[in-house]
Amino acid sequence: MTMWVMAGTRSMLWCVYEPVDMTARTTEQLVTAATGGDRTAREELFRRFWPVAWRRAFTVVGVRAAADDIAQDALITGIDRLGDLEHPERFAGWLDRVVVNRCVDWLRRESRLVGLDTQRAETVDWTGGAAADRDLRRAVAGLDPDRRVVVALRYWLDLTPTEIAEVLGVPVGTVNSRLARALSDLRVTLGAADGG
Amino acid sequence: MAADLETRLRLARPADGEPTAEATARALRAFSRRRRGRGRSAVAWVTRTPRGRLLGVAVLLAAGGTGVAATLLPGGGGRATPVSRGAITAEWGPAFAVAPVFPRGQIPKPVAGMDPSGAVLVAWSRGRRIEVRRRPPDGPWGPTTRLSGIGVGTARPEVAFADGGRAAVVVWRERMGGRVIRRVLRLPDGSVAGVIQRRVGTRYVVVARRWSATGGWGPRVQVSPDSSGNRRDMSDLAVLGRPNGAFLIAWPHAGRIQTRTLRADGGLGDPQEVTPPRAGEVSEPVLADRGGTPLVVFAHRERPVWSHDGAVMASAADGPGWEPPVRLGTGLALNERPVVAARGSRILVAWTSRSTGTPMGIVVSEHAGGTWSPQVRISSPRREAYSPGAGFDRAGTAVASWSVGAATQVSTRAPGGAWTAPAGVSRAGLTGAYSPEANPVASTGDGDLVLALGTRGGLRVADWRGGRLGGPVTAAGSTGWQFGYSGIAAAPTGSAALLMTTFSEDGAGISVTIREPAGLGRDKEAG
Repeated sequence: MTMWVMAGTRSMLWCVYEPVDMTARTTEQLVTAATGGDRTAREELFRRFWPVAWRRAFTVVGVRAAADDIAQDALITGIDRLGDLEHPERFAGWLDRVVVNRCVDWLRRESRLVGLDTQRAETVDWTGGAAADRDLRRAVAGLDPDRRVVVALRYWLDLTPTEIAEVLGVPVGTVNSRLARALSDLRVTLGAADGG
Repeated sequence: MAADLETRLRLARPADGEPTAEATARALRAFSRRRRGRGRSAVAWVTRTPRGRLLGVAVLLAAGGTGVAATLLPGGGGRATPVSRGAITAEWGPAFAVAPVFPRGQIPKPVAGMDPSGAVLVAWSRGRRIEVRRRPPDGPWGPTTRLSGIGVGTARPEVAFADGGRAAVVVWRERMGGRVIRRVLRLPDGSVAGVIQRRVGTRYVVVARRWSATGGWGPRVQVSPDSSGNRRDMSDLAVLGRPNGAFLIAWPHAGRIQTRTLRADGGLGDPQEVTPPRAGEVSEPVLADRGGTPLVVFAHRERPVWSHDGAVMASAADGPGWEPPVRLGTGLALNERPVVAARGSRILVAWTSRSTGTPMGIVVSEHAGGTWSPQVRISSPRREAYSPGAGFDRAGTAVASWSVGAATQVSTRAPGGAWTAPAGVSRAGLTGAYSPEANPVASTGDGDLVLALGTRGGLRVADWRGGRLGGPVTAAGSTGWQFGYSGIAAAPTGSAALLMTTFSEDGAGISVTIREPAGLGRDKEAG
C-alpha cells in the first residue's frame, strides 16, 4: 500500500511529497535504526534523501556539479553524525541545515576565486522561465553569497525569515537586513542592465 | 516596486532539476565506501566542479570505464503464434543477473531486445569487451559470449532482430589504434593524486556481428566504410531489423547520418547518407519501419552542442537513398534521444523540448496521411516533464507517456481526434531513470503496449490493452537502487522483459526479469 507523505515539515512548498510504501519504515524509524548501527536503514536514509538534498543544493547554488558534491557531502556527513541528533523526527530539517550551510560554504569559496576575465561570469545551470527570468536569476547569481542564499531560501524555497534564521543559525533581523540589501542590489543590477 | 521585484523573483524560480544517474551512482559508491570504513578514492574526493571536472574525467578514464548507449529495441513483426491475452500471467519472474558484478568504476549501460517468439538478447560492454547473453523463449539463459576481438576498445552496443527472430545482430563502435599520453599528478607528500591521460591518433569504426538460428554468431564485419578520428562520430548507433533478414544500421558521421544495410547473406549494401540542409552536428539516430519504408529520426544542432536548440529531423528511405530530412521541431537537449513508435504508415515521435515554453515539456509530432503534423506540446506547461514514451495500440490510438516529478502521466490521441488532457496513471515516475533515452513504452507487435514505471522500491509495469491502462504490477521489488531502469521489450506471445542496471556495495550489475505466458520455462531459472 502506498500513500503520499511530506518529506519536510516546515511549509507547504518546502515540503517534498513522495510516494511511500506503507510497509516501509518511517524516517523517524530509519533514523533510530541507523543510529543503532542498522546498515540497511542507513542506506535507505541515503536513498530517500539524496534527491531531496540534491534539489535543495541545486536551487541554491545553481551548478549541477556543485549540487552533486554538496548533496553527497551533506548526506554522508549527516548520516555519519546521526548520534548528534536528539530528535529523530527532525532529521529532514537537520539535513536541510547541513545542505544549506554546505551551499553557503561553496558560494563563499567560489566568490573568493578570481576569474581570468575582467568581469566574472556568473555561470549557473538553472533553467526555465522567460528571458527576463533568466536575467533576474543571473543577477541573483551575482549577489554576495550570504544575500544570494537568503534570496534563494525566501523566494525559491519559500521559507519564512524565521525559518531561514533557524537554518542559517543567525538572528531574524540579520535575515531581514540581508534580504533588504539583496533586493536593493538586484534593483541596481537590473536597472543597469535595463539601461536605467 | 519592492512587491514587484519580490513577485518577479518568485516567478523566476528555477525549474526543478534532478541529479543524474551517474552522480547518484557516484554518491552511493562514496557512501558505501564510507560506511565500510574505507578512505574515499580519488573519484570520490576529486571535486566535480567545472574546475575539477578535468581531473575527475581523467581519473575515470584511468579506471578504464567505458560508457555505452542504452537503448532497448523492441522485437520486429511477429511470426510466432500469439497467445490469448487471458493466458498472460500477471506475475513476473525473479530478477536474473545476466552478468557478474562489474568492477568499481564501470557502469554498464546494457541493451536488450526481444524477438517475436519471446527470446531475449542482452548485450553490454565490460571494460573493452562486448558480451552478449541469449535466452530462448522457454529458457534458460545461455552462456555469456564475447563478440569483440582482443585488444580493441569497444562501446555502445545495440541489438535488433529480423526475419521473425531467426536472425539477430549486435552492432557497436570499435576503437582502433592510437596511443595514450599519461601524466601522473602527485600530492606534496609524493602520493598519487590522479592520472591524466589522453589518447591521440585514435580512429573509430562501426562493426557488427550477425547471429542466425542455424549458424550461430557470424564473423565480425566492419559496417562503416570509413574510420573517423572524431570521437563524437559513431557515438550513437541505431539498428533496424528488416523482414527479409537484413539489418539497417545508422550512425552519425561528420555532420551527417550514414546508413548501411547488412544483408541476410552477410554482405554489405552501399553506404548512404542523410544530409541536413544546413551544417551542424547530428546525433542520436533512431530507426523505425514506416509501412515497409525505413525512417530515420535524429537530432541536429547548428549551434554548439551544449545548447538546447537541437532540432528533431526525420528522413524516409527513397529507393536506395534517403529523402531530404524534414524538420519536426526543436528544443531537444544535449544527448537526449527522441522516442519513435510506428504502426503501419503512422509514426509518432516524442521528445523532451526546452523551446516550447518553460519548464521543459513533452512534444510530439505525428506522421499520418503522408505529412508530418506540427510539433504539439502535450504535457502541462506548469510542470517539468521528461522521460517520454510513445506507442500505438491496435485501434491506432497514439499513446504517449512521460514522468512528472515522482509520477507518470499519459495522454492519448485516437485517430482523427485530439490529444487528451494528461492523466496521472501512477504514483511512480521514472525519476532519474537510468537510461532515460530508452522508450519506456514497448509494443508487443500485435497492438498491446507495456509501460515501465519506476518507484523508489523497484520497477513496475502497466499493460495497455483494449484502449485502457491496467494497474501497475511490481516487476522487480528492488533494483538495489532506485535508478535501475534500462529498458523494456515485449512480444506478441505476451512475453515481456524488463532490463535493469543494479547497484550494490560491490559494484554495478545487469538483471533481467521476464514475464511470459503460463507454461513456459521460467521455473528453469529458479535459483
